[in-house]
Parts: sequence; structure tokens; C-alpha cells
Amino acid sequence: MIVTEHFGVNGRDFIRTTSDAGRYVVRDGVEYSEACDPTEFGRMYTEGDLMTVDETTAEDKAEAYDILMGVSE
Amino acid sequence: MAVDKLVDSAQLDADLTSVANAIRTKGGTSASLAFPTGFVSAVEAIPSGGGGDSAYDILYGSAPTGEIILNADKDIPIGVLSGRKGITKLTIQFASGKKFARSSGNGQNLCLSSIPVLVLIGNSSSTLPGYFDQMNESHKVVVRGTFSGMENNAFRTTVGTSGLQIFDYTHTSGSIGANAFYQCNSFSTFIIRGSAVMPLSNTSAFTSANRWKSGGAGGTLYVPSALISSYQSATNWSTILGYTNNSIQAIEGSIYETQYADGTPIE
Repeated sequence: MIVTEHFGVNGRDFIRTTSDAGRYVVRDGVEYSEACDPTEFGRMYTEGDLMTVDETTAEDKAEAYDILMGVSE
Repeated sequence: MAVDKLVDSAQLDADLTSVANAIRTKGGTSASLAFPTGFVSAVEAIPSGGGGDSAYDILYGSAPTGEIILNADKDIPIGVLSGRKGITKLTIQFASGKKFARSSGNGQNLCLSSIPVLVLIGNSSSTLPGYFDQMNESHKVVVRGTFSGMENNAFRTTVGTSGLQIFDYTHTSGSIGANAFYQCNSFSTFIIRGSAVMPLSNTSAFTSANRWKSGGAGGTLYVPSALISSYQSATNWSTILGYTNNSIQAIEGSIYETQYADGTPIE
């Protein structure tokens, strides 16, 4: 489901929108893994079908794979 | 001189002119050619491969130096050009449908540790894949043609910090992926050309690039003047541009109005 939280940048209020299911959030056909908008714009997002990639996990797994396969040390 | 045949001189002249025209066209010259020495010289002067080397000649043949044009007539595999010294500028022209090939594991791609200037000329089906890794000495990247966006981790480096300073991108479709400029701590200038705002998938593209993150020394985004206010209010861009030292400037009136970041004039 869609999750939002407020934060500030130099005195301006922003709202961060993400999916607690690890999916992209979508607005106007554009997918965001995390959407940060000025609060006053009131932008609304829907939860997309695609999963975002946990970049750290994917990189660690890839590195481990390469070590096991003898590709790198 | 042997005189043993009757020759239609008019036809001979026409035939020689036809050959000379073909040589001039291929060689990109309009000079008159004296037969036979001029013909021979002009043919020998024509660059092989239409002005660029086959991707595999570059990758698996002799080590080139200087400014290199690489015709990507095949998908370019990972890890190539790693550690190559002496290339001062690499231009990769992608044939239609050709792209950088990804491995199923580590997405590490073209290792550009020693190539100061990289120019990529895309062709609609290409995307910039993840991990242009170890760009320790690469300072400028120019992307022209039609690339359909930048994947996550496009310039993410897994070794220390990237040397990327200036990125000049022509946007037609697609977006900027997460962690695109991860550890690109020298990255200071981003030029985005095109008629629409290029979506930014996640502020993480910039938040680990020292200059662009909150409290950083600041980076400068150059966009068409008509899009400045749109970028300032766009999702995720509004946050990045809201950090104190980051700024947005118009391409018009800057040096990038008439030339790409590698100095190539804009036609």
C-alpha cells in the first residue's frame, strides 16, 4: 500500500511517497521507486506492478556469485 | 605503349568519371582525381569500416590509442576496455537494435578507468545500463541520439570514487534510475537536453554524490530555459534543487548552447 511521510528542505515542506510492498509508485504513467514532492502540489500516486530492486542486496548477491564462479576475487 | 585496340574514348571518359565520382563520394571529397595515381591515392585514403572500427576489432584486437570511433554493430559485452591506456576519447555509435549487453549477475559494464571522454550515440532501443564502473579518470560523458533512459546504478562505481565531472544527456524517453550517480563525488555539471522534463525515479540518484547531496558543495543542472520552472517543481528534482548549493541554469546563453560537453558543435 501507499505510504507517505513529510520532511523539510530549507524550510519547505515535502512529502515522500513510497510503497510498503516494495513496488514502484506511479503517476501520469511514470514510475518512481520513491517520489518526493512539495506538499502544496497534492500529488497522488498509485501502486505499480513492478517491484523496485533492493540495490544493496542485488549488488551483494552479484558480488558473491562472481566470487563463487571465480570471476573475481 | 601498346596500341592494339580501338577504344570509344567518350565511353571511357564516362566510365572513368563514374568510378571517380564513386571514389569521391566514399572518401568525402570533391577534388578532381588524376588517373591512375589520383584514383589510387584517394582509395587508399578512405577510412576502413566507414570511419569507425568494428566493436570486436577494438575490443579483442590491438590496443588502440588516441581518439577512437567504435561502431557497435554487435552488442557490447561487459568488462571490456578495462584498464586500457592511451584512449583519449571514445565514441561508440550504436547500430539500430544494438546495446550494451548485461550479464545475469553483476551488471558491471564498460570499465572506463582510463578514458577521459566518452561519447555515446544511441539508437532508440538502447538504454544506459548499470555500472559504468571505475570511471576513475573519466571526466566527461556525452550521450546523444536516442537512448531510452538510464537504468539504476548507471554511473555507480564499486571502486572508490568516480572521476565523472560533466554529463551531457539528450533526453527523448525514459528516466534516471536510482543510485545513478552513486559515489560520483566529482560530478558537478549535468546538462539535460530535450523538450520535456526527464523524470528522476529516486533522489538516491544524487544523494550519494557529494556535491549534490544536502550540505554538498553544489552541482549545476543545465536545461532548456522553457523547462526551468518545470524542473524546479518536478517530483524528486524539486528536492535535489532545493538543497542550498545546487542550482539550475538555462542551456541558452551558456557554452552548452552551441556545443556538447566534449566540444562537438551542435548542428
